[in-house]
Amino acid sequence: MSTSQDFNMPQSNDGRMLRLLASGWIFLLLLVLICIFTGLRPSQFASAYNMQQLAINAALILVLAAGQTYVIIAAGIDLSIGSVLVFCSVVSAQVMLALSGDSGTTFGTTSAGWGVILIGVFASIVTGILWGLLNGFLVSVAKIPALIVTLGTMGMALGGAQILSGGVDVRAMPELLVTEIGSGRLFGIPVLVLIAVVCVIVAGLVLRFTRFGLHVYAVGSNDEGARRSGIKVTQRMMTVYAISGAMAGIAAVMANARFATTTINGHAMDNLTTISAVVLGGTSLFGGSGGIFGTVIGVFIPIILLNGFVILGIPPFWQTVAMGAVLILAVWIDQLKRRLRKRG
Amino acid sequence: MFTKKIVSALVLSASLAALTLPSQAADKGTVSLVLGVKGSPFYQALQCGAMARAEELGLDLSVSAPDQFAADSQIPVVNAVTATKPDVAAIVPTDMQALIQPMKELAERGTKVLTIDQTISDTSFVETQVLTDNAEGGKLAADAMAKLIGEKGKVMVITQPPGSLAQDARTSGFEEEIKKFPNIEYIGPQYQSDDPQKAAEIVTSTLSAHPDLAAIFSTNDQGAIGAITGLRQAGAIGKVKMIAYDAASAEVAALKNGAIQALIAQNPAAEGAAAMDAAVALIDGKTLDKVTMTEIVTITADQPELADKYEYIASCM
Amino acid sequence: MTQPLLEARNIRRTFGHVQALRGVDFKVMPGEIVALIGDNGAGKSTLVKILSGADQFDSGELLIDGKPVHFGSPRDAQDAGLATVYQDLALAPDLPPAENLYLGRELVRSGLLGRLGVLDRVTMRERAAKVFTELGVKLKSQNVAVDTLSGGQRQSVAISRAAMWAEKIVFLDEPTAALGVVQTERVLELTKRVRDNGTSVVLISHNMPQVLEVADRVHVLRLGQSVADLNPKDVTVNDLVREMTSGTTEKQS
Repeated sequence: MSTSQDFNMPQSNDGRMLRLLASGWIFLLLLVLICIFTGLRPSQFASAYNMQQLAINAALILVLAAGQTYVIIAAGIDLSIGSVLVFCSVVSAQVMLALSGDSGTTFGTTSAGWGVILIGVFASIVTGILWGLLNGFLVSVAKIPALIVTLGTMGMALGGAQILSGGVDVRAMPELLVTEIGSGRLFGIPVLVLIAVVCVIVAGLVLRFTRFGLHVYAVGSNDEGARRSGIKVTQRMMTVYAISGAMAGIAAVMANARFATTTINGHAMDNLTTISAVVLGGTSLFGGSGGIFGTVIGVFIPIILLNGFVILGIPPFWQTVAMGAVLILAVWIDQLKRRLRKRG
Repeated sequence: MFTKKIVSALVLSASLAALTLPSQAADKGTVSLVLGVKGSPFYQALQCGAMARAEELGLDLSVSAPDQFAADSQIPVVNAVTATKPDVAAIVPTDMQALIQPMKELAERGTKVLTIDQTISDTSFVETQVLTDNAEGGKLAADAMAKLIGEKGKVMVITQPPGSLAQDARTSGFEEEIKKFPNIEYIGPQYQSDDPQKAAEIVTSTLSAHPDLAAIFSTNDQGAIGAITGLRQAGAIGKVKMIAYDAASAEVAALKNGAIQALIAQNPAAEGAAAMDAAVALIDGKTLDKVTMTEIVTITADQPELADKYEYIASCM
Repeated sequence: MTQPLLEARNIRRTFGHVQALRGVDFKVMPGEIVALIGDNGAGKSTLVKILSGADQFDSGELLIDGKPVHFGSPRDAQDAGLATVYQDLALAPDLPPAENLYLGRELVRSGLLGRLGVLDRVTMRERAAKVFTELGVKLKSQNVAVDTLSGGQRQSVAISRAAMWAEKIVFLDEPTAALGVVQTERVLELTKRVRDNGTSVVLISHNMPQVLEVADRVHVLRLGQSVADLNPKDVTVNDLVREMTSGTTEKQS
């Protein structure tokens, strides 16, 4: 069966074909990966323990990627999320440390209660939103390209985190945060996973069903057209970046809880990880189309690849190669999709 | 049709991948080695040392590594290793605190855990720590430096931002020892994060401020490579003595061509081998000391054959 | 004489040293298609921008239903019952027709869900379908992105949207510039339907035969001034071209 025949499919099949290409194939890829790894190492890969670990490892990136999905659908890009996460985690950790009164101990856990933790969470999210608003302002009001703006704030946020912390990770986290949220469970499900699920579902529903969500698509699809239609494009863009920042703030709390320390030297690749997850999930880098469901799958693909490869004992470099290949495949299929659509 | 092709291609490549898996000859037991980062010559040399010794000992060794030397990147790898339930896991923890929880889980699920090269702040569940004495390495560097500059002049350290136990220990060991030389003026540490470009900038700007700088100690290879670049740019090669930690190929080459005057080398292959020895001992039910020290040596420019011996080369790849 | 829906008197607009408009008088009567023609740089686009609130004039007067108005933004013009379909299509190509029709004016559910901003897609689709039927616009599907429609269908969606929201006047800026023969016919048909449904149309076009075919009146601009206001039944394409390029202004004569 030649490729040219595939391209010449009868018109009536286009709709189904398009839907399949949209995010169906990546879902299929995920299932295929799971089947392969399960088939080869059933007792190890498919164990309840491993599945749970996969979900926990995905949790943080899922939250970040949900924010990134908004930004990319609005035809923007946010390279700063990893650094904003680091900045928020330092602010949050320092606020909690200062409030807990256990000053002096920069190592180990503190006995801070839920009140202090709540303030820490609040500080983290507000800090994230502020970074997001700065991004949004520079992109939509100062009209600086998003790539440059977020590249700039990426450096600023990381540098800021290093200034605040003196480059030394804050290692004194509230014991409660680490045990109850970081490794705690609710109804048998890890709390980190629950947080991620709630964030993703809310983000998905808002994007799919609300006026604001529709405006995000409209702005990404044709911002000038959206403006002429009376949509407050500047305000929408600010909100979109603020959402991304808020998600980074939430993820920062999750990171603090999970690692029991800030992770200043980590998260350098979070921006590219989330962008490739969003693209894998069928959201176009040109904006205007896509969705959260695809992103969720896009997040799990590299995580499952890594996990499966480690379990199979495949040399580490192959995971990097495989991931790169999958990403290119994803973008290629996006192009095919567009060509098919244009032909209509 | 189209999708079918993708699926079959995937299945095909996956089954190919499955064919290339290392053979399962688990005579003695299964060991997982988790390195600090992919593609580092040091860790590759360590991996080669471990693989060679594992072969001798009849261990079934599998090696994995994260993309970055960072906890968020490494923890998923450790989790995956946990799922495979090896008899022993040797891990280079990339963060002394963040790795405690995942490594503890690994230990709780019946795997004997040992750390290698780096360590963590809670070692209650760790069988042994295969380490080099980084503070001692820093001292060696200070002694070598004092000798090279006739025990007088301005000196500086290029290291990573605080937070890495090993790097911090090298710096503090150096600082401790250099105090013993009253005519040496220590102008303090400068930080770079595995970024040669940054290290080069540090050197050139320090030379502007202190044209009479006598020597530089870099606590790792990336800093050393950058520092040499900076010295070359400033025309100060040889004039400013360069002492560097590690024996990466670039550093050994620089030692031979006169850009570096002394190296403080670890022996990663020996560390890897030591970890495998420890693994066998653990499988045999023996108890080990909390710390297993491995060697550390000073190599000066007049010992090229020694440099060759210690060079971090992944001989097995 | 009936009152004009819109009347612009002695509109002037200067950009730096360029006098884009130097005293334009223009009006739109109820239920007519007025063609606005002129050579490049004659000031058509500037005039339309001013009339649709996207630009402000330096001096002159703008009246809607005989009352002076000021448009500070496109929103003001929209609120006054005017809508513009731009050459570069102000549609969101990735969204379906119904969402495009309601873009910026979305319907939300009643009650709490509505307060949360939850869209009422069902009603939007139903009403959009009704509008398309009324205007004789046939789309292959209501559920696909407008990007997948043909150029003529996209233009039809854009015009339908303008007609749906403009109570008084729709401005069409070169609506058929990029279209083939058949699609052009459909769009012109749609233009007439819009007029017949009671909304006046201002048609900006370079296509003189087309102008003579659909317009009820032709207004000619040259070098930022109104030079002629003609009845298409009395003139030929050559007359129009002469007025656009070399015609003497009424004031000079």
